[in-house]
Amino acid sequence: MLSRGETSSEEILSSVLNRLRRVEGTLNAYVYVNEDAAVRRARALDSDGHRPRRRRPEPDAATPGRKGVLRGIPIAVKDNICTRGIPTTCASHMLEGYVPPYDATVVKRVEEAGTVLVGKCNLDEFGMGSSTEYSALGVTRNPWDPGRVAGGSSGGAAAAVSAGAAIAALGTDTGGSVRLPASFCGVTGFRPSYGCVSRYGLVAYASSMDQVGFLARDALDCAALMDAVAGPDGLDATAHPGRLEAVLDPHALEGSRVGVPVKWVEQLAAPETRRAFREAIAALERLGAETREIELPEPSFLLSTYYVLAVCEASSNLARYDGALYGARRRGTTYEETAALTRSRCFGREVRRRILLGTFALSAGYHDRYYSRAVLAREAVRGEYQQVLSRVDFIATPTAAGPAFEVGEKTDDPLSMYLEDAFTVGPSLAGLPALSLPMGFTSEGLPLGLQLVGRRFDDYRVLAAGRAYQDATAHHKARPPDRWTRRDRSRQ
Amino acid sequence: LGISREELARVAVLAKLQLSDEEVETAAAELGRVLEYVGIISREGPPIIEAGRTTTLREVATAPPASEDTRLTREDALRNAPERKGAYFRLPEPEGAG
Repeated sequence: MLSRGETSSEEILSSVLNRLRRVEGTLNAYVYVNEDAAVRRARALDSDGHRPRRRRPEPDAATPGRKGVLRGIPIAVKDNICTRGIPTTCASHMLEGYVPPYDATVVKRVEEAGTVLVGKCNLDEFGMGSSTEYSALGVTRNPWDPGRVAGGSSGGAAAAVSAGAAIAALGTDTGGSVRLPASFCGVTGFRPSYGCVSRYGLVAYASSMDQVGFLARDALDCAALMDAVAGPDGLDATAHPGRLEAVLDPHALEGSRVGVPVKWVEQLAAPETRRAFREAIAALERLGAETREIELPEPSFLLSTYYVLAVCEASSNLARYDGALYGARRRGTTYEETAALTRSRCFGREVRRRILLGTFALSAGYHDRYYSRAVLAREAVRGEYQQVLSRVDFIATPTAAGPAFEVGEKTDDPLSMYLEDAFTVGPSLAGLPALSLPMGFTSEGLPLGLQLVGRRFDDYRVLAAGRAYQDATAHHKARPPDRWTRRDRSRQ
Repeated sequence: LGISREELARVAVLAKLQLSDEEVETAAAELGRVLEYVGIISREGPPIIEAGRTTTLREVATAPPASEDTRLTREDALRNAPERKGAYFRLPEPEGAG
């Protein structure tokens, strides 16, 4: 989709903005629309003589993001990624009015690649959630059924791409925040290996797992974005110094070994998800993959390890918000009172909950029981994934146990919300590349996702496998309804 | 492995959060359920073999390049200040400063 047809940047932008205006009242995918600047930018690109390319790269293109392929393409950016001169709120009252004085490295690089920034997308506050219901700026709804959530925390980005209100988007993924909404909204979502993409300018939640990722129609578009932004960055000490060769092998699945944690899938996935997953596995086999059963650590062990680490890092990272240097301030008589008032009134409920949990798990007497254990548990998890991936090339699971759930179904039960991440937190803990691909629909017409995980730094191999799967299937081509029925709207 | 109301009140002070009595009650119950769930890593996790060992991350000293285009100007840094006085951030006085 990134560059099809003989058209101008301004025409592509105009069709995206028209679509945005039509759906935004129902979906609430955006928190900021950058319309005037985007139009100026598209015109400038057109007058510069750079028209979008007429054709997509061939499947065997050596460089998926080769020069010019993204030029003139309207993209959205999740609102926890800093954009110079454009508000960045993290969907929190804490950052109301905050305008970053610098661009995130990924924003700078997609701009250099010629993209047009349509706007900033809604998310769970500071990335803490799995449904985009924990946003101070309202719930984002699912284009396939507005009575349901878009998934989270990159729910705005996923909904925008799904509904055609952006061609692609930059999201972020800590425990599944790109993959889960991609699955719920029927788009393709990719989380690169930890370290492949700079985190400079991504507002920190859990730094040891935070990673910028991509949401797009298909794996090829994700690869184009990956190629534009990946690579070393002196501003992020965790950015890997090497650069991956952006090659998409069209035969990536032929003769490959795909591991399936059968017990996991039986235990966690809903019947319709299991059916779609079986069909997806059969498609992989038809493409030449050999599947074999594998075992992975218990989902409850993975979730516990992930959540302890995430809340501990969150409590530490969010300590910076004290109403002193930037963001909101609720003034008290002293600095201490001001900090407490600001934090209590400007952080939402889920963020306060995670800060409390993290502070508790790091406090004297509990540090060894929770944080230290979780750090060691993560090492064990990494070891187990490494061992499994020495025997297979990819691990395949559903991305989520079921389709998008109803708005409001889980907001009052934090634990049931956390369990939504059962399939996605393992690769996050192990720092592995993971791709969510549309793999079919429930009987109610709701999208389901297939997750493919690869070895660390095998990012393009995973994307190539996704590309091969999408060449043989059509699930990623399905679009949500163009208009919502009165019943859909009444359920909002 | 739950959390008592007293412990929660203490943690709220450490986290610089003000909680009403009602919030303490609700949060203690919610956090208790989460802590019970994540307790699996204490019960079934790998043992802590080496005392004091908490990470295998290597310490890598890096010095980000302070090139002109990444360095903030004083004005850039102050632009988002909730309150300023001239070229400085203005903050309420810390407790006991008077």
